[in-house]
Amino acid sequence: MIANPSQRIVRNSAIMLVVGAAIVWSYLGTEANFLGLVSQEGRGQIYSFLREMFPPDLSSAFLVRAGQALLETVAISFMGTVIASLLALCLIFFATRTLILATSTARPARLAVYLLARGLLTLLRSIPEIVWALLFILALGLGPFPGTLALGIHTAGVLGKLYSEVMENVDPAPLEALEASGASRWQMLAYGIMPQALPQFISYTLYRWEVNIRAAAILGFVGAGGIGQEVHIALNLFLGHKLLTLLFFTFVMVSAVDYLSAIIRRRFI
Amino acid sequence: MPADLHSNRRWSRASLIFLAVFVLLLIYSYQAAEIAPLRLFSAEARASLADFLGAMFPPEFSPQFLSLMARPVLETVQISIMGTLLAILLGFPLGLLATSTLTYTGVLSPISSTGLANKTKYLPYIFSRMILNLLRSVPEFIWALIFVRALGLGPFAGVLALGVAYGGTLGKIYSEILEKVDPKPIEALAVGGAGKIKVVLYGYLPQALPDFISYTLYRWECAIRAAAILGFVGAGGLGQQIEISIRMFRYKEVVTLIIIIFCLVMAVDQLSTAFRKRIL
Amino acid sequence: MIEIENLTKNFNGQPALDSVNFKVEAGERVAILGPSGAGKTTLFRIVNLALAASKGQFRFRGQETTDLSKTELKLMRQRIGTIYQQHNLVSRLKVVHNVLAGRLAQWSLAKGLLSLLWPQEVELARQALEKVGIADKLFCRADELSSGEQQRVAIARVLVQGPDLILADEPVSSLDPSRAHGILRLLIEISRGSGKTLITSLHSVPLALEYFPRIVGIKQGRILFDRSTSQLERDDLATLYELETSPCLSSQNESPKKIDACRPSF
Repeated sequence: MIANPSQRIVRNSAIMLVVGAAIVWSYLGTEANFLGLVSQEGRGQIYSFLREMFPPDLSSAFLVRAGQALLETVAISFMGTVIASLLALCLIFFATRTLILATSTARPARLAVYLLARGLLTLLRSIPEIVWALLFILALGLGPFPGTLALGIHTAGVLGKLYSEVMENVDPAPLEALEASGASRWQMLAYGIMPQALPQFISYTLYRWEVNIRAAAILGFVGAGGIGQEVHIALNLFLGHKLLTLLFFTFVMVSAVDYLSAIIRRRFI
Repeated sequence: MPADLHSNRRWSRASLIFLAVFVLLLIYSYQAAEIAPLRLFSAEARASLADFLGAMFPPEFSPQFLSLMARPVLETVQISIMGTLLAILLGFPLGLLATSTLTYTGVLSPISSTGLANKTKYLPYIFSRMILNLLRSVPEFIWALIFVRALGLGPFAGVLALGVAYGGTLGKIYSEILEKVDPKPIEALAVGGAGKIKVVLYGYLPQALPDFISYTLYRWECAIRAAAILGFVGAGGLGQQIEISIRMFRYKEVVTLIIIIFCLVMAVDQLSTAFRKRIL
Repeated sequence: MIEIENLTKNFNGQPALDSVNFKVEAGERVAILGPSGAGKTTLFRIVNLALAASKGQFRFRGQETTDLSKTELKLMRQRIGTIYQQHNLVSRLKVVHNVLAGRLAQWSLAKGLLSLLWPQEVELARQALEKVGIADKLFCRADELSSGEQQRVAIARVLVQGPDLILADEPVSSLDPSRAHGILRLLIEISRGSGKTLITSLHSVPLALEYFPRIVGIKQGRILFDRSTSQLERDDLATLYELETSPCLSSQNESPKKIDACRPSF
């Protein structure tokens, strides 16, 4: 791209300088103290924290309780992803340029709807899940339902953007063939666009499920159900043994969802 | 696609099983997550939503409040940068060990190893994969809680949380990128007698660098979002402010903070896109 | 220089090389001919120590090559230089780094690292590039060069490595005829000037006849003939490249496995 080697050197050194300055600035600003971590005091703190956690609490009463919280987390992440995907599917018909702006009738109105839908998707995804969860808890009270809604709403914004990108990038050649044979717009959508877009849709939705299982594990901190609530209690009451069990459960759950999602991806896409 | 080519059933058995599991999981989740769509439209919810929206507008834009927010905004950026740096430092060496073409397959491994070397050659690979999985599978938010408990409040706990969680992700992605580089130049270097580290420097890294940078920048974009909420558990940044404002029922401030986060995320996205274009 | 005895290499149970016996003396120049899939590349990858043989022996300068330690393997690999059909350069690195990669084995790690930022032994690289006729490309990126020039860079890398044996696996297959002559002339010159042994596999019979005193024909993993160019007979080449008469074979590019499967059984 840039032919002149000396120009390249100038550009690369400029970039390195900026990155270096940003790192120094951040190091100072975050009170980062990596040496403190390995100092005697830091080591002592970490050691005593770890010692508090061993052995993990494996009493059957707690295991049942943690197991229930775990299942609730899976349910929240799953339901949240389903809601998100349904919402996104409704919204993308208005947010995909190639669908809504394809005909010239009522163009200003169509453009307005398009921009509105895009703006809505941006708004949904730029507010973090946990903030959505707080807002829904204020409106609906504590429990897994507001958590599920929070995940669903935030993820709908993300999936809506990804889905509409997929729709805009489908190969137009089969669509033209369908149009030439006299297919209606809905038939074109069903036989031309969806078969091409569906594998990508599923792939992105699975990916978001992997993200959502992690998010669902923390929503409990603000009272939106799931294993996060138990982790929060264990941390606040200094119940180290229970904390370790919960962390292990979280690890297993997240790994299992990643694994499951990889299997589905391999088999069906 | 299901590879059931020789069957003329319309649905393969795998698809049916999958569908059944999906429906069962859906029914269970609907109940367990206490889904009640009507509750959203109950008089009670409508009233509290109306109160709530009323209390949110107009957003708080007074100069005092905004000037107070400058520090948390900068701190959020700083946490994201330091966190990403730490993630690179953790992820890169682990990613190298977790690259199969570097550790036990291909031209870099002894061509006919016997005995102990043959039995132990998978160990670094398996071990590093396990660590990466562990780091990645605990959400950054929980890492933040752990570090806040172990080391006390402050942005450094946020840096460590991001660094550890994203170190796991970066390490995994780095190893995937390294496994996909063109093996021909690697073989040329290796049969010239260069050792592993030199082959990494002259063969793997030059090929992988564009993808490394691109993906690391993407992780930085994720890090700024995460850094903005880590404050909920006392790990510094904007999240702490949101938590305070919500607890004080000052929803006008919450709206302003959400707008600030929105602008910050947008700015970082733009910056990282520009950076990516420049360097690649 | 190299002695190969009864060497067999199997891939997934299918032999790519089948009891090959082959000997090359120091300073010899040998061309290897054969249809695609005959096992030429496999032979080269065993000789340059990228692969281990399944059975049989390969000795390099009188030394066995099985059960080498890591260090012994590295040392032996340094004595063998390889030039590939697709030149195998690191396309995003500058030419100077690609050439100096031949020195990597001798360099310390620190020197290798430093050289990426501030090229070391540039003079050596320049001399090698001068020999192959592209001294002006020293600081270009490898992917900015034409494929003929890239092949010259690959030769310069081997020059800098300074091996006793040069293997060239179809070095001119991706070049046009005039460039092909240029590259082969260069290889012969290097071998003559320094007394290095040169083994080249080629697709083109006329090129082999023109430049090499000894020709080895390989087909279906076996050596079909091995003689000096002056003693080569028409029949040798005819058998080497003859099409199978079986009706279900459409091209000679089929793998040996398919050929057997398609043969009518008697």
